[in-house]
Amino acid sequence: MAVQQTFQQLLIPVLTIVGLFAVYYGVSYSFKNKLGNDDDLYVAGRTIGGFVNGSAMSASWESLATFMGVVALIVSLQLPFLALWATLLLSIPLIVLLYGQTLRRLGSFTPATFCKERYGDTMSVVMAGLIVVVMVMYALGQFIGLAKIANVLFGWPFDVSLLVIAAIVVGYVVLGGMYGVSYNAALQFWIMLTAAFFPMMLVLKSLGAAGWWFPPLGYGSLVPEMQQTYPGFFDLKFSLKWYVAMFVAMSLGPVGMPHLAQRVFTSDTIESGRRSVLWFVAITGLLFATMYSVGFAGVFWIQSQGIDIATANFDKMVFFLNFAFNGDAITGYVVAGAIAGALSTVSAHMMAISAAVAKDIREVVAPDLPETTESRLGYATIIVSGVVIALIALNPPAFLVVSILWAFALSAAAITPVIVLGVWSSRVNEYGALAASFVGGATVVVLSPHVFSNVTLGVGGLTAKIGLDAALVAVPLSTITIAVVSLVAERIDVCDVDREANQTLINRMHGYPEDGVERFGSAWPLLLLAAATVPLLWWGLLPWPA
Amino acid sequence: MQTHIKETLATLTTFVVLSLTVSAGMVFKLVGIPSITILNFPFQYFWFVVGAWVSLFVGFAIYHRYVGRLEAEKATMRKAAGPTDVDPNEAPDTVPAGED
Repeated sequence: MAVQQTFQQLLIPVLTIVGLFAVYYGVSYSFKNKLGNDDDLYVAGRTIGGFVNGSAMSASWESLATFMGVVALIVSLQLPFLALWATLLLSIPLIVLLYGQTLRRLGSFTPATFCKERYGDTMSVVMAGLIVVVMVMYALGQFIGLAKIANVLFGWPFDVSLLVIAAIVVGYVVLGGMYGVSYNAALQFWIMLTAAFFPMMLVLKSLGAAGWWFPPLGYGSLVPEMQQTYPGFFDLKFSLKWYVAMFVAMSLGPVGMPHLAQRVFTSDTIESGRRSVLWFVAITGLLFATMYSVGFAGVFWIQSQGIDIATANFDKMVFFLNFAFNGDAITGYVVAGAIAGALSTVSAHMMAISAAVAKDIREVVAPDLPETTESRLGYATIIVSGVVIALIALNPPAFLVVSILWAFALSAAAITPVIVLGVWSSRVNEYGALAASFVGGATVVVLSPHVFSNVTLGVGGLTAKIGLDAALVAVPLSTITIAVVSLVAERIDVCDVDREANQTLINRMHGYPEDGVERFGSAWPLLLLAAATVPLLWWGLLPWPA
Repeated sequence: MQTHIKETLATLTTFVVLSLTVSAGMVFKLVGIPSITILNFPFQYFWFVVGAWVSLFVGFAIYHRYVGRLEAEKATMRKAAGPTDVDPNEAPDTVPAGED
């Protein structure tokens, strides 16, 4: 049975979407006069409170994938995908837990700012480079998705859609800086939630779900029928090794995401940064649970009613369900929700790229620029990042769009250990950090199927494409490298490791006074951690279960 | 116990607890899945949809409260150590008046 797959009446959807863009520009414009210096441009003057930041964190995290990619993967992977997506909920809490509070105390703009202070100029530039690569990879998918939506709505050719989208996003980011990005992202979250929740109430009611009025849990009455028509939907399917590798890549990977870390750095106080996590968890969980209902409803609908949808179109399931049960006008608002997800995320990416280039790299290569030039450079990098991402998106290399989840494996190995262990051990130094970043990053790249297709761990399929197998090897290798190289470097005079300076910075980051007490200075925790990852590394190198 | 030891243990414990409750696939594969349903949902499905999220909220809320007390201890230690040059970018620990 064929279904409606595109709009038949475009007026109300287009008016809804254009109207919301006008609102986003209005919000950014209202902050135009607040952009006085770098603090304002990159971290909103560090004035964002818990509720706004929690909402903005949620939107910046969730992206277009929440409406499209997630649903497709629930439809194709079922329960294991829920396990993976639930793990991603750990992102912001772990960032705040492991380093967000300490870097906020330092007044960092990005993790690269911290690296400059902690490890020196070289590591700062390396980290900024990694930030740019990961953010570009991430933003590509959002730009392509937005361009495809514009193509469907307005009928523009893909390349025109791409350049128009780039211009629109760059415009509202430049206008309001991080103030505009933050408050727009907060608004965009609530648009996403209402665009998912209320239409799904109507879809579930049409499908006969008894609890239709609360989509996150309202489809329980459909479970017995689902178990009959699709018995494997609730199975864990994969091995223990898969779930451990998934945890390593999908919890530690997002911890290194600079656009999420930058959200924490906008907090007005450290306590407010922690409280924003509670808001983030509460509302993100609600939206995630709502999207799971979309995936469930999609599978139920196509299985029970013989709906004919090509696998390649599963990512549009949320729109097909709404076309079928709610009509074009409501589906237009759902599309607006998807767009809101993409905008909130890609604007955060552009701010992270700009901060990394115009602040972190610039402070190393041109530390004495006049303030007005610095400021212009900040805006110029936002514009250039939008243009570059759009140009790459015109003809992207295949591996850059396979899945952003692969970038998480890269982040988990090359970024996370350097930042987290740099916060919690004064014995980690620039030599260990540089070596770990290189070893971890190179391992993920070499073992992935995207770059050297004949050098793999043999598991293949989606597991390899999203870097789970590589992460299980690269993260332990990176951890062992940072510990061993740091401790060896201390013993080599020419390395000139300044343990006292590291100790002073660690004290300051954690809020302790300079009272002569050595804190976080024992080598044993570092050695124990490295030893604990050896079995994980060994397991990662063993053949995967069939 | 010294404050920084308490801080490290609190962080490590919270990390482990949150990781195991949220990334529960590892636990289910190791110890099995309870054969019960909640609101008609198989336990594992209900856990990923709701249980993980709620346990994350509760776990982090407990951590937040405890670390708040540790921050107060650090503030007392800083006060006892005497005045220092403070970077204007460095964050205040607590909520200013009139905040949410």
